[in-house]
Amino acid sequence: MWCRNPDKEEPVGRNFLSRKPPAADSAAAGLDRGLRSYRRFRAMVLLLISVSIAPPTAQSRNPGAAAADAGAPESVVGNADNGKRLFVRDGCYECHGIEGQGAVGIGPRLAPDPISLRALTNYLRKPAGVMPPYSAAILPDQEAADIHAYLKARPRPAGIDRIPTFKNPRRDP
Amino acid sequence: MARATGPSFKRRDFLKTAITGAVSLAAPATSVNAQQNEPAARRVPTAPPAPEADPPPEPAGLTLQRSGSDFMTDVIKSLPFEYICANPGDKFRALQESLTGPYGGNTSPEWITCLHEDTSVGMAHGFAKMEGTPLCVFAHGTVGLQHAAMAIYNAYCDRIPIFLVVGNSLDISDNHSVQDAAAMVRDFIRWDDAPVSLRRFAESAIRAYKTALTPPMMPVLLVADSELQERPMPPGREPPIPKLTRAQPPQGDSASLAEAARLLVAAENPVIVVDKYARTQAGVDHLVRLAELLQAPIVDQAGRMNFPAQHPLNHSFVRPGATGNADVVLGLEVSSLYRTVQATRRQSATSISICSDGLLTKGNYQDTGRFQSVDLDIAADAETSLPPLIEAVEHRITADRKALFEARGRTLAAAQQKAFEQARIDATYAWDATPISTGRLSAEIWEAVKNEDWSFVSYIMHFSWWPLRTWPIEKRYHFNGGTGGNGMGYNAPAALGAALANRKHGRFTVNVQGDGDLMYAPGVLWTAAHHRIPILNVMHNNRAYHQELMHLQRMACRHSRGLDEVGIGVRIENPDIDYAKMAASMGVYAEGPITNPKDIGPALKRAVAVVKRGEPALVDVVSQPR
Repeated sequence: MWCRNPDKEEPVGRNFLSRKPPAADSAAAGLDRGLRSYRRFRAMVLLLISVSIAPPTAQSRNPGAAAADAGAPESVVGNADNGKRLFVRDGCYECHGIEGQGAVGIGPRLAPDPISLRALTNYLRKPAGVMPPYSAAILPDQEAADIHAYLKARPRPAGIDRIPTFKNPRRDP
Repeated sequence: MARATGPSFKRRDFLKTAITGAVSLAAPATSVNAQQNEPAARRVPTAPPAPEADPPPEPAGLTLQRSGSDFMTDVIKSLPFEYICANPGDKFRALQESLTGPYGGNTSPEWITCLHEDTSVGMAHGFAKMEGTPLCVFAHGTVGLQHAAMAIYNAYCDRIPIFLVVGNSLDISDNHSVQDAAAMVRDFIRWDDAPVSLRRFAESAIRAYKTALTPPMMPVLLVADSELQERPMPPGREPPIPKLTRAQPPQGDSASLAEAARLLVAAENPVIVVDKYARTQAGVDHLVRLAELLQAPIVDQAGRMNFPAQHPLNHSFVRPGATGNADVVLGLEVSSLYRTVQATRRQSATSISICSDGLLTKGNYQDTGRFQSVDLDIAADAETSLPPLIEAVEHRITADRKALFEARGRTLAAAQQKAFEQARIDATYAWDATPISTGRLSAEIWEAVKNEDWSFVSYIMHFSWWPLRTWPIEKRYHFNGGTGGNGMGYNAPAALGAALANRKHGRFTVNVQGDGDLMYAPGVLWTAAHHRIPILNVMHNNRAYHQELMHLQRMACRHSRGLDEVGIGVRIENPDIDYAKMAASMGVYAEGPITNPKDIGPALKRAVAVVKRGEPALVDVVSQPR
């Protein structure tokens, strides 16, 4: 279970998604990055109960934007059905929701309209924030393409006008 | 006693043996040898029993008119306890009988039967946070207190008063006796005593109650010695019971509050951060007044219901956060301002803290967080200190500053409105998904309870904070804060304790209940049914300890070992627990498991009707992790 340990907390207010991907690998750097990432992860969870609790708005839903220039297999054709299976198997839904809808402070929205496959794959390999690093050994390029296809196939939301409980804009959510 | 097993053992044989044993104990020693050679049946006495109108005189000491436990009952009943939460324990048997039997009458306080000490303390935790007054909890001094320890820690971290009485015997050395019962939990309670006389018991009980309610509030513990309970008490020799008075909460000194007001009024971008601040509706109202005077954003860490969720100055869910641009930060009952100050631009904000943790004398557990050098550190109770702070702010606001504040307020209100609208849009994503999204579940619950005088009493982080983002949480009782120590097993009993507090006010209690949390002590459902405590439990049944699942997922990726096994030890499935059946078996109206989102609304409607009749209900919804 989660134990609060503020000793390793990081400053908040800096959007982890805007950080640059880590530099070249080395064993020491990798370990250090892993520890730092873990601390970021803890800090991120702590954010939920502290200062900057914020929803997965449009501003925060492009995790791969900073990495979009790197090489990635844009030409690989994905299988959405297999992508759905992988989205669950690989635990993506834990933080991003079954439909990739996102969860406040835990994982930004991914779908519909996901970022490009190239950006997604690059971010999977070298996430800058609290997300686990998905190496090609764990998630090959083809599987990343399948997941991307699944995200791309997610339906758009119904819209609040079609949901009775959201009719009143302020008093009645 | 050895257990008789196997098909050859018959009840008639058992009775014969038992009767024989009893007669043997009662018979003169000289007859024992003679009887040993007789068949068992012939050893049953044939003489008729003495007539009821002429009972034999009882030997001296076997019965008594009044015991120490009766006096202890007088002491406990002198304190304003509504309930005692407990399961039974032999080390306080006399006290339990005095309280629940004809002497105490089982009223003021009334005994609430719990099935686990963790539940007893958790209920007291939720009750005290909702009602503002502590409950009494009884526990066995050894094994019972061990069960209760985690829940006591939660209450300690949450700064919640609980009055613990643990039974113990110093005269008997066995595995249910302890030299220093409170030692096990002393690091996370405020005060304790083990009185050796009834006079001392009375004085320490009053002192304990008073101490528990003096900020920083936390549990207190009193040992009730079993010999002291069971010893006869001669009439006319009872010690006095001291009158209960309340210590005034520590208020910030006027010079410091004036300086705080000066800093806040002069600031360009002040931010007010709150955590375990509001105990009362007045506390909420005062914070609204301060925020509106300054037109300063509130960042609510949700340790309590501190500030209306949809107030234009509530910036808890606004991005980018207000803290980044803050030049002055005021913390109200925030244990550590480290993260807040670090989040400000160049970590340069002037920090002010009003927090009773400055009066804390405990140090083993690290719940106060990382140290931050606060520029103006006022060790005092924030709720008590706010009225004079407001007054000082009012005196300092000039017309120029007021105009600037109003312009600032308009900007802040627009940002808050945008965040609120975004939250409603967020909830519509995955609206028809299976498992059911938490956004939809929250919206369906709101639709079911919105016309009631509702009180949402759940720990909220695992539910993606939906009610705080989308429900009109305005009154103090609309929300009951967090766990304190994040110890699992808190939510179910704390929610029921809050429901117990709400019952007399006629409020409708709604609880979103995690599956993993409930399974720590599911007997809480029986307690709800047995005592007819109305509460709507909606299961956020994601069939896992999902927080831990995410941890393991990260570790697996870091180790590049694949993710096939990360569910081991954290998933609660195969078999899936049928919470509706479980609840029904304990007398709770229940429906589910619900997997189609369209079925939630009708099920909730039926459950609401049950709760409005004064009974608990449970609706099991198979839902997404967060």
